Amino acid sequence: QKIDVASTFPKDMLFLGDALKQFAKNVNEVTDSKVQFEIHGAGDLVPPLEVLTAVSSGAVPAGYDWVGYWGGSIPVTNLIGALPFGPPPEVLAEWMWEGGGKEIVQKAYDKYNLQFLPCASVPPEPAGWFRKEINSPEDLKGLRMRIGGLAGHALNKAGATTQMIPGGEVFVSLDRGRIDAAEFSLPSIDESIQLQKAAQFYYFPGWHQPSSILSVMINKKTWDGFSKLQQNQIMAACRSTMLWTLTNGVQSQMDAVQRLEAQGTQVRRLPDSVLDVLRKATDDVVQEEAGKDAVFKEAYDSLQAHMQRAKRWQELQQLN
Amino acid sequence: MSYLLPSLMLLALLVGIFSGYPVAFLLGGLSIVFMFVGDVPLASFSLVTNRVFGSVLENWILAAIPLFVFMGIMLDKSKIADNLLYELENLFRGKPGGLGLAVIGIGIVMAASTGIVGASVVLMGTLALPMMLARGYSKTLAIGIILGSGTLGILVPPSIMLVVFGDVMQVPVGDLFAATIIPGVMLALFYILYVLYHAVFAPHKVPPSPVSANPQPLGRILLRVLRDLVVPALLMLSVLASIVAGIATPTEGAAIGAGGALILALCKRKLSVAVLNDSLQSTMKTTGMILFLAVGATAYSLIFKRLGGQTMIEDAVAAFGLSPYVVVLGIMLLIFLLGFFLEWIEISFLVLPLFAPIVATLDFGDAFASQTDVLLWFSVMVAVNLQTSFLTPPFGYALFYLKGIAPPDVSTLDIYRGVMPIVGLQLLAVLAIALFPALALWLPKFV
Amino acid sequence: MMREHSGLRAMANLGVALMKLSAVPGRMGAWIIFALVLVVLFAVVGAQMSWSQVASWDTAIPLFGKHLSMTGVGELQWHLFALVVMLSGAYTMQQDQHIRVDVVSAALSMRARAGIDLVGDLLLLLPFFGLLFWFSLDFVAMSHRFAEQSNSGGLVDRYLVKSVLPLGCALLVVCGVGRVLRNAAFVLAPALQQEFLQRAMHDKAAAESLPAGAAEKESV
Ligand code: NA
Ligand code: NA
Repeated sequence: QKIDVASTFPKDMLFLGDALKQFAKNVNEVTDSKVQFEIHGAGDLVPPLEVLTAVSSGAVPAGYDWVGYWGGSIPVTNLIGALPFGPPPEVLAEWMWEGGGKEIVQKAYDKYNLQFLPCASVPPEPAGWFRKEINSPEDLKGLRMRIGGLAGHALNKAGATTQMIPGGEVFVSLDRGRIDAAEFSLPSIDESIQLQKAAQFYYFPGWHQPSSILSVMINKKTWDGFSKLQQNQIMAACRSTMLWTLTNGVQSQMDAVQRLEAQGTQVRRLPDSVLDVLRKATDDVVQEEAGKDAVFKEAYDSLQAHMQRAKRWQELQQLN
Repeated sequence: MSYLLPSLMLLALLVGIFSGYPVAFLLGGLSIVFMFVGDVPLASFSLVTNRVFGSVLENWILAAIPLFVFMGIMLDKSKIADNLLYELENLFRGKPGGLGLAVIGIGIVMAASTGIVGASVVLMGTLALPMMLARGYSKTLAIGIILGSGTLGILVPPSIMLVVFGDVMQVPVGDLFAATIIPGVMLALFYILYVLYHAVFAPHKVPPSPVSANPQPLGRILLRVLRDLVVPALLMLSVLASIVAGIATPTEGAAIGAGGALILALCKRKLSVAVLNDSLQSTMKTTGMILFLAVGATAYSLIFKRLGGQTMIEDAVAAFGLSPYVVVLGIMLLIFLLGFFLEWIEISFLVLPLFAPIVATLDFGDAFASQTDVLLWFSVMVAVNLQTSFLTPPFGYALFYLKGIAPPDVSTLDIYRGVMPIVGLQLLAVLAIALFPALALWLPKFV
Repeated sequence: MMREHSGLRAMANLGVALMKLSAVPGRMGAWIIFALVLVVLFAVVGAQMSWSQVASWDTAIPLFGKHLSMTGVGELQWHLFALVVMLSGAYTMQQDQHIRVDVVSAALSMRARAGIDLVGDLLLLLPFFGLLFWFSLDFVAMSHRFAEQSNSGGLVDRYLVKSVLPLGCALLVVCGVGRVLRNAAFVLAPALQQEFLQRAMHDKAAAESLPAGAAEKESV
């Protein structure tokens, strides 16, 4: 049984594309080739941002995405795609698989006739590339930055102007000064589109996205067509892929950062004063969103409680 | 997967195209016919909905097209080029080949402003051709330089063709704009050398314009040329510079140009509600013509891929693929041949997307700094190639336009004869860019 | 001759009328391009001024919600573009400006060309835009059901811009049915085609709805 899966990323993209290949490989192995996923890269079947609609309508049986793409349709995906000042990857993964997260998100996906499979975790991304230094909250005023989602809203509140610029034009826009800053992806991916040539300052930490989920979505009809055994096999393959991403992301990123520094990139840390302002703005934004969508609120409360427990545990376990 | 169905689908397209039925509807309709023939589930058709919305309607790059078209039509209405021809001729009075150079000069001005091939060829065909014939110019030579410089506009920025390339090839439109400037200048030089060659070796083909009894001082003529050039030149520079420099998106640059062209027409007292309405309706029709081809092509290529068409083409290229240069040469040859019958629009939306993934993975070793450079270089060669498609019989739009407005004693055969040397120069330009990629890649590095 | 083919003439007249009707939104909609120029220019100025919010108000209105941000202005650009494209299809068709490769077919008789269009419209155009219309209804309904909106604080009610898809398809189906009626009459009664052609020559407005090749080509 070959299942077409429409990806929102190019098939061979570093890490983001590799995770889907890993998932397809895992499924193939655990089902003894009874279930196979055939990967179609971004745009092959549908444009990336149409994947949700296409899978929901059943035109394509499965899709693969960064969940944050669907924030305009499924608000809760903003939360698990990029919650500013949110949990680290292992805490998000734990909440997702054992803390009730998967089930809450599934409620939102049910309406779209979709099975939600949180199969990959992305390491925290840097805060972005900046053409000028950020020394105080004042420097955010009038800053033109490419960033979307909840972080974009928060930056707007802090006085910046956010713009959504398609991936293909990010380099030029930043290089020629049409924008002052851009958030793109992981260092190894940023490096591949040469953002180090467009801006000098590479800011950390990735406050806007401390962790993030990539998911496989499967149309309910296709999902229900699998036997119980096959469903369990696919779930196991998905969970195993999540572990693969949790154990595969970071090392190559540090290599990339070192290569970037060798080329003259200045790696910086956002001052605490700026992070404080952004944290405050994020709280406002999240409260507004929670007021608008019930599933978002339920997920946020559950995730908060989970983060609190994790924090207490980590404090208790602190060795020095 | 068998090659039978995708081959049949290509054959059906070929036959359908020559039936004269509108290509956009043919493409869309064939997607349905072959969905049934190939037993693709009907539900797959809803992907066409997603594709039309996601890659055409929601596509902010393509939104530059109506704006650039409108800018071109407005600039045409403001008649910026009309006076200039007489003034440039004045400038070159008494020199063999002078009028020819003036015509090429106008061609360049039009190319850098409107970029609407129809408008340039029609203007020069009505104004310059009778003038050149009256001065005793060789018919074929006069026709050749009008066609060459009249079609330059589709190649050099601003050009809606390059906007489409940016989307299809996934390269920044500003880089494409910058990359085609040197090749455009090179082609203009080719045309100029073509005239100068005749001025030296066959002056009877390019006789000098008579010097008037009381010639005006050179300074005054120059001043007038400047006056007529400076405003449109400033407008164009601001549009191009803002796009190439990345300060504006192509869409924004086009809107700046459209606004500037409106103001220019207003200042020249050529703007009225009727003129504006007329221009907007022309823009609307051109938009429909171009973008419905994109709609049809996205439907066709979805089903074509589903039937294994992309694999078929990749296998075919792999079978030929001795070296990446041979692959590129083969694609260029194919596009040149298709250009006899098809327009840039069909080729850009239908043929180019099939080859883009192949070109993106060609390995040229250290010959190019990056894969983006490869795509840029390839796109520029395709652009020159497609400018040529306007010039190649039997179906070359520029030839039709010229035939439509040329004096009755200019026969179709004259036009074919006149355009041959120009097609030769175009191919020479493609070859030059192939051998010296820096012609395309040097400028984008410096903006 | 005027008394002959009265039934067919009525059919052809109805066809021409339907085509004209389908072109009206596109003809009027041409002014949206003017609005598009203004909106983009506004965005250019706004970006230079680093504007973020343009305006806000108390009662939610369709498409805009309760505020207009620069992100919303940016989205408005492609909303207008989408509308322009989908309205332009039928208008361009009524004016016979969709690209044809008539290098071979120019040698055919007018009747044969009307016949080719008739077959093409029935087998290709009507099924395509009919199906696209049908499938896009679901596409719009889904967007409406889930109140899809911008994820960057831009415009709301994304179903509105999605509805231009079925709208444009419907116009093309109307235009297509009109052309089928007209061309069927032409094929059955070639004299009628001559008559319409002559009438069109006298009536410049009607000159825009001629069959293949008769209208002046316009290209870029
Ligand atoms: Na041009
Ligand atoms: Na041609």
